[in-house]
Amino acid sequence: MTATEGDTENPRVAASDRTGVRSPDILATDGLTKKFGGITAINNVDFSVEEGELRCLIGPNGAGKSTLFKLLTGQHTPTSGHVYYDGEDITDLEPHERIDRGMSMKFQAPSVFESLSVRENMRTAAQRVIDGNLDPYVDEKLNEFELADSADMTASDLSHGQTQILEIAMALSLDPKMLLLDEPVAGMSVEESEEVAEMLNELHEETDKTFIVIEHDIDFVDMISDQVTVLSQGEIFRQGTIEEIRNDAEVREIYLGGE
Amino acid sequence: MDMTEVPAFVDIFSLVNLLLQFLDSFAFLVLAAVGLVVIFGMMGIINLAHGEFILVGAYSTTLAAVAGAPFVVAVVIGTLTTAVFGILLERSILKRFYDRPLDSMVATWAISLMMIQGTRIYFGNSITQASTPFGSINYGPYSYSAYRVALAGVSVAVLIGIYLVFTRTEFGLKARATIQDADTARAMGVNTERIYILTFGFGSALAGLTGALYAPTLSMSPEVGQNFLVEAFVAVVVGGSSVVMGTSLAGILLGAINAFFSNVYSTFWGRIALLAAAILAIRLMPYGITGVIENIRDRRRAGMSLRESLKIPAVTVLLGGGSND
Repeated sequence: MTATEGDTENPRVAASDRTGVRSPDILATDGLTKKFGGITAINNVDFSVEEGELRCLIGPNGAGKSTLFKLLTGQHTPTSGHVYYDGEDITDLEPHERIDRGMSMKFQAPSVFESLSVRENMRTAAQRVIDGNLDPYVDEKLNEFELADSADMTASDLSHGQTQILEIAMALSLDPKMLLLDEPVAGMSVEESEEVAEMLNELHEETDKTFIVIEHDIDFVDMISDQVTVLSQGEIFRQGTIEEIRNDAEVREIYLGGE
Repeated sequence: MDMTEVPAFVDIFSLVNLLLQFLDSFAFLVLAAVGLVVIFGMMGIINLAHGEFILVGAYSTTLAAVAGAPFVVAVVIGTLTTAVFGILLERSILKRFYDRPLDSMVATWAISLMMIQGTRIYFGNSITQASTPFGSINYGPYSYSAYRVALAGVSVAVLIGIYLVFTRTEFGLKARATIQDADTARAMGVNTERIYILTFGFGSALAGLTGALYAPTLSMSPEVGQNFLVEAFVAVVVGGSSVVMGTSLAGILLGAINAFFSNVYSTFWGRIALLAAAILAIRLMPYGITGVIENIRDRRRAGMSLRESLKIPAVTVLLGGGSND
């Protein structure tokens, strides 16, 4: 089990359970460490997420959230430690190989192909899932995400909100088992954030997909997640429910203290 | 002698000559540049060994043709050999130089020097040339190699082929995605490493094809690739980074300039005019024809009328305000 109340004292208990052959964890890290020169960005992190969970990972700026995200996606190689996905050691796999295994990722910076059309953007995702004619699948997804009307527009001409929807549509068109999202509502209005929260909640309830959301905005976290992991100075600081985290004096000090 | 009629004949013949010279020049510019522009435009590598990729294509085609292979087969052999050669070079050396444009220039220059000298050591100062297919077109006092004119058709076919590869194939889509944003491409499950290899191989194959096609028309010495460098770089400077649009428009513009000056003055002046055009292009449109067209397109997109959107780039080009330091 992960992220129960008992784990808050020693979050590593969860990881040591994982060494058994069968484990409900879809993703786990073991002693994950990343150093940049003399700076340790991520220090000996044991983190695990169960299949079907929607987990938020929060922390103040500089806590190592983005570094951890990049270690999970394969953009960074850890200095030491391992990443396991679905029981397999994926530490040394390239990002595209992780995609092949059912992971999907949405970066913090808007990442659509700006000079390609909306349709072509969707095709890049579809080619991973479909063999042969991509058009029916692409059309279906364009309709599903209400992008059909802008299908032939160049992605750089989309509004900010539409760009975010296109990104999420691309990430979901890969039909992932697990979706990693890095600050999905950064730069969005309150209304847009609420829409994204609603969409994530629906997806989480209706599918068995696993979500890991890295987020700075604790109000957004409150809308989508029950289980929260707090990262501070490259280490796991707390794990628990959103209520516990909100009421934890030390967390308030490192994270919410200024507010 | 009938003094009134001869100049009229000469006029028609020299117009035909001008046209054929334009076609020849267009083909040479386009074919010289395509391999370079694919590797530069898609991967950001300025390949100073471009001439020696052409050398590989020219030599392997010539050796195959002289050994008895039919010309078309020899061209295919030359193209594929260069593609394989390019991929080996990319894997062993050039992959270490992505995002390091200056270092990659030094590295490719070194490769170029080694290849020229290596070819000289191994093959000597020249090898037997393959014979030129077709004959020549005769008209009035002039004649022109039919083969070189036919290459104009081939160059158009090559441009169309490149366009189709990059817009209609899965490889093309992945390549454009990778070039635009490699991280996101990987997040879409694209094996970007493989795309780099294939794109480099494709650019190398195009350089090889150029060498193969011109092999029968040039003397086969280790410096054969150097014949193409001026035209290739001038076409890239004038055309900009867009592979098909930039290269074809640069081919038309420069081909016309070259043909006109060669025809009216001499081939020497045709070459001087090309270089002058390149200098002017750097001053007036630093991002080449591609940059000017993108500028117009952006203005159109921002809601300006066609007339309005053409106005400012035109002024910029004429006054040179578009250059930046």
